[in-house]
Amino acid sequence: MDIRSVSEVTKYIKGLVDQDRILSRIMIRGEISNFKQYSSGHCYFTLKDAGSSLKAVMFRSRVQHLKFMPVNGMQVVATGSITVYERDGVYQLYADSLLPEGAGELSLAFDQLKEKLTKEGLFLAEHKQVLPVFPRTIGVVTSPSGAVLRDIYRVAKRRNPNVQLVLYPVQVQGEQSAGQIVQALDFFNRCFPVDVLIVGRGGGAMEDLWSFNEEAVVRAIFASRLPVVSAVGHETDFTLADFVSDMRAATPSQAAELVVPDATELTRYIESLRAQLAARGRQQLQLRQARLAACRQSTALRTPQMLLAQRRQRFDLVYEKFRQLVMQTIKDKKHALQVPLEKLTMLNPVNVLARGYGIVHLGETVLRGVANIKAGDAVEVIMTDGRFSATVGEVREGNVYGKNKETFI
Amino acid sequence: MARTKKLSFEEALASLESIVGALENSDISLAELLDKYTEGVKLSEVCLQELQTAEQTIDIMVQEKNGGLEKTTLQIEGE
Repeated sequence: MDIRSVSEVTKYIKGLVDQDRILSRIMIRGEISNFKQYSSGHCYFTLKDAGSSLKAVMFRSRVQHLKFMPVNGMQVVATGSITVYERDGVYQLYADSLLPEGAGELSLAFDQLKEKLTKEGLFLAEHKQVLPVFPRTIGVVTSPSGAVLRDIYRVAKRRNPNVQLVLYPVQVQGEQSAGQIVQALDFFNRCFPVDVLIVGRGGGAMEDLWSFNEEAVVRAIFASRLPVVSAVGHETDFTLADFVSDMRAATPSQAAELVVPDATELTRYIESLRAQLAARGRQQLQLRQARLAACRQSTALRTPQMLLAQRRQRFDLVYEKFRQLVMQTIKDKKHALQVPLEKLTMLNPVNVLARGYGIVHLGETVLRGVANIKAGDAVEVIMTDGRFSATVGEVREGNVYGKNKETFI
Repeated sequence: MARTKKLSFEEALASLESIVGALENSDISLAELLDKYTEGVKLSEVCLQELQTAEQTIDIMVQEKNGGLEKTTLQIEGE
């Protein structure tokens, strides 16, 4: 028996395996475990079932065709060939393709991408742009042939004959489709800034609509500075392009309706605004006129003399009070004066004269008694109603009226 | 000819709507009222004119070919 090297025996086994027609093209059902994708893009995993496990490799060139991302626990059918990895001396599956079991490949891919982009926030309402009210140019990204373009054209022109359509023709399905759609979106944003974009295609099976679920397309719509309306398939078809677009139209016709306002309707709206403007302006003026009129109607402004009369009346009242007060004061003072006045009156010599007395002058002197007088003196006597001269006869001193003197003065 | 930037339809419409809203407020001064009213009328004319302008538009198809831009008149099947 010859002695063989490890390499030789491994090479020999590899030769046996590689010759085997079953192993060179095989489909294997199993559950994915230990899944790892390296930065090189190659994927390494183990396919297993209840009884056994099998190492598997999928190279980047194959991985990039996968619509979904394999994860541990996923039941798949892998297609490829089994060969021996000489360095480690192990046999492993080189997978060319993977198909998920149960849910279809596409719906799995859809769910996965949707989840991923949702986490990134691409579908959030806050990113939605507002469509222009009255766009003049509309970029259309769709197939140049087919009902979609015609539907958009008819509806748009019916609503506003002056609207301009700019078509960027793309394939809406197939290998080239997603790349072309991305390019079209980029083109409009970069070189041809229309007012709004419609991106769409007619209805079809999920695989026909697939371009509109491609990550690149979804990201291009998200990145578009120009507002994007998606119109993919029919009412019931939802693509990720619909989720990410600024507005989703159920059909291409509806997209045109959403994007192009009816010129007649819009004219009516502007006219109604104009009417409101006039009505409110008028109302405001009337309001002010009414306020002015109310002011003018007020008694003060209407009959200023009344205002004066009222003031005069108040003045009269006050004046009257004042007058009464003054009069009272005067009266009081007068009264206070009365007594001394009466006394004065009594003392007035003129009044004494009236009672029959006379004032006797001797020269310049008024005689107050008989002491300085002698017989023969010429005196003058003043009485109440005149005067007379007299010559003094006998002079006698002493009290003429006796005891009654006390009561006199 | 130097011209001030033309007001876009959207801007004119938005201003008009805000003016109509403002005229509801009875606190505005008479001078302001007259200003706003005049401006509103002007804006509505801008909008209406914009709507009624019958510019002849030609629909086109654009294609990037050999790094250049190619524009052709858009042909619609069945139109």
